[in-house]
Amino acid sequence: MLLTVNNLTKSFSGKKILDNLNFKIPKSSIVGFLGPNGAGKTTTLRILSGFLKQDNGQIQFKDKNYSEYSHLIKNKIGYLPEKLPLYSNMTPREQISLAINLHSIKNPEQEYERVAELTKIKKISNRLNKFLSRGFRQRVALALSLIGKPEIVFLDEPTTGLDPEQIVNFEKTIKDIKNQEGTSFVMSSHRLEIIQQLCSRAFILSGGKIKFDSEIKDKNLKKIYLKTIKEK
Amino acid sequence: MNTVKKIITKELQGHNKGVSVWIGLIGLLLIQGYFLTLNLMNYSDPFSTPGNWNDGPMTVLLLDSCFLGVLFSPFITISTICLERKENTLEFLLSQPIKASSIILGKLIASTILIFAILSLPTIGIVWLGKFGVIDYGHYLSGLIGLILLSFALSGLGIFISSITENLTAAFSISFPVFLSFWFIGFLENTNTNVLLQGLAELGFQKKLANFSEGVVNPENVLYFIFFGLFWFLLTKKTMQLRGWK
Repeated sequence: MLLTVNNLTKSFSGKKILDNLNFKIPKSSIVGFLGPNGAGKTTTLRILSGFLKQDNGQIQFKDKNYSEYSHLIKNKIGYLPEKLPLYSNMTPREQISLAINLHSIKNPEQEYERVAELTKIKKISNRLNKFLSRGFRQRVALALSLIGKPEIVFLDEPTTGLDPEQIVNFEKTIKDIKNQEGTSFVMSSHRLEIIQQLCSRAFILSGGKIKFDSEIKDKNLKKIYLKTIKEK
Repeated sequence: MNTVKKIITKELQGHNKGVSVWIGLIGLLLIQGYFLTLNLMNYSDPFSTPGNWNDGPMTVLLLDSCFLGVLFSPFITISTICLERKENTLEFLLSQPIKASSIILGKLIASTILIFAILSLPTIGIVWLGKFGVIDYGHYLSGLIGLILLSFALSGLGIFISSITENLTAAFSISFPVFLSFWFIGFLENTNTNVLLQGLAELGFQKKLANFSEGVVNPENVLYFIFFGLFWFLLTKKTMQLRGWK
């Protein structure tokens, strides 16, 4: 297993957001977290990406404990937040170069070429981020999450604000990266059809708990997800 | 230390890009030039002997620079963490393989460099004036040491305020009066005999900076500014931990 999560718990101001989550992510897979707003998807991904600290529970990356080796593990993971983390007064090239620099990668130019090629952002690399369309901003943010050839990338609601054509392109890009580099992806969404298109496995999250865990082809998935939304 | 350097470079390059920064810089240069001219005009022969500087325009000029620093440094420090949170770029930085303390330290040093660089602009005028008389550079240097320490202290406090809110207006509204308070509480010493108020007056910047501006580098004052900056640095780190940020 690439990632093993045991009894993950997180509260904010006394309110339990994640309640004893347990799941495993295999190598070279695309796994989805489905759930309505406030289900705990973003908090889960923020903890897995190393941005937030959990209150309780263990996260194991291969054979290493997250809390003990967080600095080393951050080199092996990528994160694409829902609200794109782009500096408005930087160009894609500048921000990607900054991230490459922070990863202390020995051949920065080669790394830039690799992620720019994977995400097809070369033609906009010298425009300021603030002037880019949502689709291109999404690609630049994806390029940032791919720096250092991570073994796993966390995507939080990656299709928010994209039009249908951009969603198709995004899905193709993710599949290509998975096939070319063997990267695993964990993505969150409240849209079942997006998860069904991309993922091989899905977890339905509600009220900070995993309500259902199944293969994507499971016929009960849609029924249980719709029931979860109604209950919410 | 290498990652801290990278954050410093990123911060300084970020400020370099804003047109408003350059407009502000020119404005401050004009204000400082005006203060310098005004101070010189009050002395009929300010350059006759280096000793004149101790009570002369240089002391006033250095204190003016310090006060200007207190007034404008919120413009630099409020954006350090507050803007990163607002634009969500803090999430980008914290998910990189670097420690949160390196990010805060990098921002602290970068702000110190920037505030000091702006406060020390009158150096251009001082060097130019050297052509017309004897300049006591030792005196001026002690003033610069005071300025760099003040820049460090203001940066530490400003970054802490920047870390407690993601609202830029709120950060500015808090920073401005707090910075000014640390300047003006020094006056309590002259107006009240209450022990508590006298103790509070000891925390003020003005009294500590007066020594530097008079050409005296007192280790006690140096330590005061270093501890002041470090205190707010550690508090910022604690705030980030309390928010659950790694």
